Amino acid sequence: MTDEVLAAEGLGKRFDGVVALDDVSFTVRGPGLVGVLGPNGAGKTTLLDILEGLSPATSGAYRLFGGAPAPYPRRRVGVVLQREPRLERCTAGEYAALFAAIHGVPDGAARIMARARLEARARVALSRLSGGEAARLFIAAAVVHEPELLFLDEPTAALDPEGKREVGDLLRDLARTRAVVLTTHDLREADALCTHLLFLVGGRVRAWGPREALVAAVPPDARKGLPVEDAFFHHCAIRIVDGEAAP
Amino acid sequence: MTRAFLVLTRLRLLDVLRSRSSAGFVLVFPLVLLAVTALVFLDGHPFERRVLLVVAPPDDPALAAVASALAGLEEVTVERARGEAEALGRLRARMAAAVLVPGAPDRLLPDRLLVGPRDRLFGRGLAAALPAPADLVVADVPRGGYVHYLFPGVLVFSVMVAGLFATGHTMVLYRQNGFLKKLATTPLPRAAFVGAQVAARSALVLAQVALLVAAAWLFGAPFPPLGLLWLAVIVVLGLLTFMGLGFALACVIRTEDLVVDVISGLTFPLVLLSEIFFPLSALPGPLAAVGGWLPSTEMVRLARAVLLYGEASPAVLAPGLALLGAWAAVTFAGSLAAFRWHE
Repeated sequence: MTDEVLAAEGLGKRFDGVVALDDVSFTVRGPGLVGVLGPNGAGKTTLLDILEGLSPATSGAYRLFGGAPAPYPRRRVGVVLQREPRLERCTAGEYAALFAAIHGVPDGAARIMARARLEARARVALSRLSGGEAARLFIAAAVVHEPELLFLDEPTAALDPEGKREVGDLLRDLARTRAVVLTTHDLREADALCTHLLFLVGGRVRAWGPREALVAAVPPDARKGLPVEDAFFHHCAIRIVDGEAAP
Repeated sequence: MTRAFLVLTRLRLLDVLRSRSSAGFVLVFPLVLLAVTALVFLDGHPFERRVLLVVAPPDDPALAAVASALAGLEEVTVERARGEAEALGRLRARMAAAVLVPGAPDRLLPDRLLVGPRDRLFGRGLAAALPAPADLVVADVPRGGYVHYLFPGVLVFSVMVAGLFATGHTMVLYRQNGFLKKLATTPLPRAAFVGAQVAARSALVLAQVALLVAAAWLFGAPFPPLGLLWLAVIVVLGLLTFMGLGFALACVIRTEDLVVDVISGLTFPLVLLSEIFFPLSALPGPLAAVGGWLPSTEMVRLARAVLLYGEASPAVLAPGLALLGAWAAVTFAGSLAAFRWHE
């Protein structure tokens, strides 16, 4: 990674006295695929909401493309939310046309459908797309304007293995030319995709760096299988029970 | 099976009772409904008092003389009409039971008292009570005249519901399903989003109005061409007002259920206080005063003026349009200020 795309400095967020994020700092240089990993409630979505300009931080600051995000550079950033809206009575083609129009990309609708490999499904209602098809459509729509930075909040959480593989291929392709930051608690997915890793537990950064460096730091006797999985448990020193961090 | 039935019944009851809005709507709203209805009709049936329209300038002594002569008759209300066309329009639409057209000042032409075919007896009694003799004339009044009266009211009701639900309900739905949050991640300007909502709903409502106009034509309602153009202006201003109110509701109400309940709860008193089914003069004074300031009342009055009385003078319509425009500006500016893409 070369140019600074995103830099968080001491980001914190409190909700009614509850600390959701505490002193989160890291710098992303593009292109590449950054995985923000952590159990449920780790603060992943809160962190992304702040970095996407949807929610203010309680403390700390962040920079985008080397400058303050005011006004927020929406035309240089793409976002895929954790819960993307599946509009009723709206077809895949119409959804693509909407986001192409918002970003002012003349042939954007066709590009979205092609990138999502849904050319033949343009007239199908959003609600009738499979999980994998919908995820590809949402991602393709989020990058129709070719942003330099793409945020994705658990884009594969509800997908079957086939869907995860297809979305993984798409993300790998996108990360060749831009910085992609995705949250996930799927360590296998992170192992397969990510070039950089941010381990977040209880709102605090437990580890941040290139995948190889975090994996290499795991002592041989702690290596049990999947490298990223070993690195996560080594650096975070937590157990996961039913998706939650256990003491 | 019995136990499952009981548990399901209990769950369903708790589902309603644990939601303050649902419980309120089921248990309290009927009481509010009764109280509002009782207040509205405290002075009696809305058409118990018959309206005598006197065609006269505002300070005409003849108007004062008629009002004074009939002051003791509780069953008659004296109102002024600006011209004979308006008065006859109101007679045809059954908004008035009789019209008094003063004759020439030198009394060479006597006053004329016009009534519908079903008001002959009332007309004779009324003529006898007038301060000056009047020729009783039975006018040609359509049997379905009250439909003409109702038509602008139904039209305004449609616009009101369309405006409130189109934005109030849709915005809450968009917030719940994450569509607003999604749009917030894009460079889409707020004005473009709001403008699109207004444009789409205006197109639908104007189509709805065209259908209503066509349907009312089948009932013999009059349609002056210029009146239809004015009607489009009135409808768009009214729609903006109620869409603004809907946006404002969506800014403070977070759940779909509650917004539906609140809009339903608002619609009922608005219908009673807006001259949709009967004139405000039938209501107790304070309620009539409140009703007089409502945008829906102004819409109904303007719509009746342009459709039923053939009013097309900008000078006559201007005050009503200005009031409606002020409502639209206030509700829209307020809702735009309060609008947030997401929580």
